[in-house]
Amino acid sequence: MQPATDEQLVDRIRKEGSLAFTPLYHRYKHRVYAYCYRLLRHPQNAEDAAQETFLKIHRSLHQLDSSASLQAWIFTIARNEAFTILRRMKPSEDLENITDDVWDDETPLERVVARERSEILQHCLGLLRPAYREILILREYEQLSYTEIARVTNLSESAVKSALFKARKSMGKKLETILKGKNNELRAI
Amino acid sequence: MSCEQFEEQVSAYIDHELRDEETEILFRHLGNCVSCRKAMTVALDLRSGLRDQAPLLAPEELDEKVMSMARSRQLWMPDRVAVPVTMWQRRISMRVPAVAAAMFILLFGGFFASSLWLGPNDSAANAKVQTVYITTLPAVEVRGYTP
Ligand SMILES: [Zn+2]
Repeated sequence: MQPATDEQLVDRIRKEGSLAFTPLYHRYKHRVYAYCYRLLRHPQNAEDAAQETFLKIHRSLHQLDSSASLQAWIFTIARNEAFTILRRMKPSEDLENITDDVWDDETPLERVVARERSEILQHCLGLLRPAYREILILREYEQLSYTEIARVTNLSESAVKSALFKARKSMGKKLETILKGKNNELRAI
Repeated sequence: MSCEQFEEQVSAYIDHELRDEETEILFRHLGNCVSCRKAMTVALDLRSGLRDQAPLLAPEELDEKVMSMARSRQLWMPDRVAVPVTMWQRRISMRVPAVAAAMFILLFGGFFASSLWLGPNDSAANAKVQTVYITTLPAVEVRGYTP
């Protein structure tokens, strides 16, 4: 039976060790994959990072501190794996370059107009500096608390608070610039 | 407090990370400040825009890769192995030599005893499977009858 909460899952891990791996995997596989994908923006690399993450989790389940947040522990491991892969990625595979290619080249206007709002937001997210992007992903998608984000990123809680504010501000500005640019292009037709 | 600092409080407020007294001070400022109210709207718009997306799902191949990795690790490096045995009504934890002895008794003693003493009405359905945790042996399944 699938444990309904993280607390129940941690309890099972404490009693059964790595025999409780399967429910943990099914509970977290989509979140871990999505997190890696959003950091790496590369499906195969995201899959590799997710696989490595679960391998590490399997290996170190016995080290899990049952009083700490399970999701913070899992995302700390996923972050390490994603960053290891990010460091190995060729510059051409890097996110900044991918988004530059996509956006700074002359994009046909119809394509831009057809873009969903969420796609534009995704694009803006990709334009943020990695530290801001990462912290927004942990907060907005994974919905981790400041305490958990601090644990995953090894920052203080006040640094998390400040970085989230700056990330949002930076993203708001980028969004505004893009939308203004598109409005001007539309007016020029 | 400057507007810049209040904007940081706005960001923390939408993350439910402000204390009550901080929230009160923030809202007093928001009542008089258009630009901080705008910052709140922008932050909430960003949130709904980002969260309002189709979920990213892990590819199915990941299941097979991860589960086969887990199975092979479980087989070669088991941390705790569940051994279902009969004739035992509670969980026990033993070291390897004790387990070996117990397994021998269970396997042969149980088989021998059951063939001697079980009546014609006893059936496999009456067998009670019990879980025993040991530390280093691979999984072994022993089936027999409850005496
Ligand atoms: Zn203000």
